[in-house]
Amino acid sequence: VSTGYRVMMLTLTLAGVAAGIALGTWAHAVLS
Amino acid sequence: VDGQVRVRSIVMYVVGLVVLASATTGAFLAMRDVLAIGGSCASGGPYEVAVPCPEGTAVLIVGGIFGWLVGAGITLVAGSNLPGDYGTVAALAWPGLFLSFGWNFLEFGLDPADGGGVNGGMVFCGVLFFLMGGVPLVLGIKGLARGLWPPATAAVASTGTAPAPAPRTATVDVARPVDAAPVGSTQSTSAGAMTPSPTPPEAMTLPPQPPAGTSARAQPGREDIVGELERLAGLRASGALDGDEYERAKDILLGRTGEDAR
Repeated sequence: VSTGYRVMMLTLTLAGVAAGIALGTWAHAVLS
Repeated sequence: VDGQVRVRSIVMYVVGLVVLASATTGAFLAMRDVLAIGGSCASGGPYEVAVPCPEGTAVLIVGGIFGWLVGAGITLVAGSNLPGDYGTVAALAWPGLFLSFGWNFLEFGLDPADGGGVNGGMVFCGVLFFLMGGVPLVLGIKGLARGLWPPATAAVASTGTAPAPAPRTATVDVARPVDAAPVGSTQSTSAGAMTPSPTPPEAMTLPPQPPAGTSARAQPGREDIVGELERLAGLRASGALDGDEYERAKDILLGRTGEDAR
């Protein structure tokens, strides 16, 4: 595993979690 | 094809994380809405409802449970298909859920929305949820760190390129004991097996190769020596060898072994 790959995957992991939190917050705002 | 599969796995891995995090967040916020009106609510049914549920609560909580399961599953499967230990990241779903819900229980238990004193039941739930989420997180923090930042050697285990060299090592190991009937010949056999390899540098970089070869070579050698020593002892006991002959034969045998071990 190269460092570039690890950096990319860590970035994607954090971005995925952040996007999910944003999406969940948005869904809550829309639905309630 | 391998690259396409990898890109698809990466996309699915991120999708799984988005589903997981959004489901957890939605359920977390919906739970706060319910706790803010006293901790219980109802909606629908034939009875008059004392405390109606905030809008969207049912969708967010029920959808959150399914989304949590589906998101964790996608992350686990897609992450496991990637080089590294990214499937492990799916385990974050558990502490993520229990710590966030535990936070809600503690916050609203210590300072209830109805303005009363501390709600012991809710605080108990909060502590329980914190333990359920926190203990596995602390115990598994090393594995999780490996998942988020896999060691450089992790690539070989899960990429599609690994199986190709593996059979070659197996062939060498299987062939070796057949050629190696006399103990001393193992060295030349292993050298011969390495020479025709089309890509020696690649073979040298394979981490599993040296230990596998060494153990395969050592096992039959040791058995042979034990057998030979037993035979010598038998010959001495039967009188076919005197003490001096026995000692010399043993030295020769052990001398050969030393050579082979090198």
